[in-house]
Amino acid sequence: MNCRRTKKMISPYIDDELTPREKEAFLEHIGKCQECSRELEEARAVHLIFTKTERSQAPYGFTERVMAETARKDAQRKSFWELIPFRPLLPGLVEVACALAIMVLGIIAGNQLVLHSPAHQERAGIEQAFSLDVFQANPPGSVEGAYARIMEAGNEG
Amino acid sequence: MPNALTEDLNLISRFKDGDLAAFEEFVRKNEDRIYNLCRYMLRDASDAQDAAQDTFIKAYKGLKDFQPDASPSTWLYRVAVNTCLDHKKKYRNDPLSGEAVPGDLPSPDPSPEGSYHARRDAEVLRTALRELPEKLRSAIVLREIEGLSYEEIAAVLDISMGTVKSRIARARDELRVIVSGKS
Repeated sequence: MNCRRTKKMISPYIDDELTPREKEAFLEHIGKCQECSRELEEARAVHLIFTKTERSQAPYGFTERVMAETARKDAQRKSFWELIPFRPLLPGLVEVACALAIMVLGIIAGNQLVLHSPAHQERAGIEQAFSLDVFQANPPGSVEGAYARIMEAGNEG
Repeated sequence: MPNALTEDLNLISRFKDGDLAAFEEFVRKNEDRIYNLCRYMLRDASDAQDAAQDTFIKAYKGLKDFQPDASPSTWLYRVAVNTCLDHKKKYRNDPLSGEAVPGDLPSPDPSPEGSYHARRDAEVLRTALRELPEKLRSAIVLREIEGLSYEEIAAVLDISMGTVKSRIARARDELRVIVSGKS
């Protein structure tokens, strides 16, 4: 076993997580290698500090403060609820509001579907073709159009 | 004799049925453990008290949805760790304020010398832990301070066993360097 592998085993060794075979190989290397042995001792020293260090206790009155805070938050929640007008009707109002919202969305969605449907597009195209707005008295390519331009040029001159 | 797990489950069940005294008993039973965890996760006693208190207030709301097939202590530890991490983010730049918090209660060791050494070691440890990244700190504190197994730590932090082993090993390595004074 090399130093790199041994050093990786220091932590699980301290936690007694090595298999018997791994432990045997680990300890054999530790016995022969000063550097790994030193690292193991330093890791053990840190572990020892943890085991000897004092455990803190919660401050006096901690539970009472927690219970007071939860009671305060409960009271706050109740008083907020009581401020809302027409409280008993609220669930019913919410249901009606949702139904109206669904209806409006349905109407808007249906309108959009109709506007973009192929049949509607075709009708809109036909209406445009027969619209007098696009009718030109003297189209540019016609004899009348050419005559009109000559007359305009003559008037300007 | 009922064990700690059964007792906690009974208290939670009574609380879910509306028994507030059961919740108070649950807090009293777990206050030292959670406060101790917060004490090692955070900067000082004041932060630890705030975080521990927040943990139980979250538990008050969250226990109503607690599933009896889960472990109450694992669940409570998870809430505490997350609360500590949120607390650090929230109060990173804020100076301490609010009511004065008495210092930690003295160690039960009756000898003054023992008490002094225990306190000094605790302070050395807390200072060293503060230099660790949060992910490594939470893993090593749960292992060394709270004595949780690798499986329990994996459940609390919601990570794999391999990640637990890796974080604990890295934390120990960094602490070894910090405590032995090497750069």
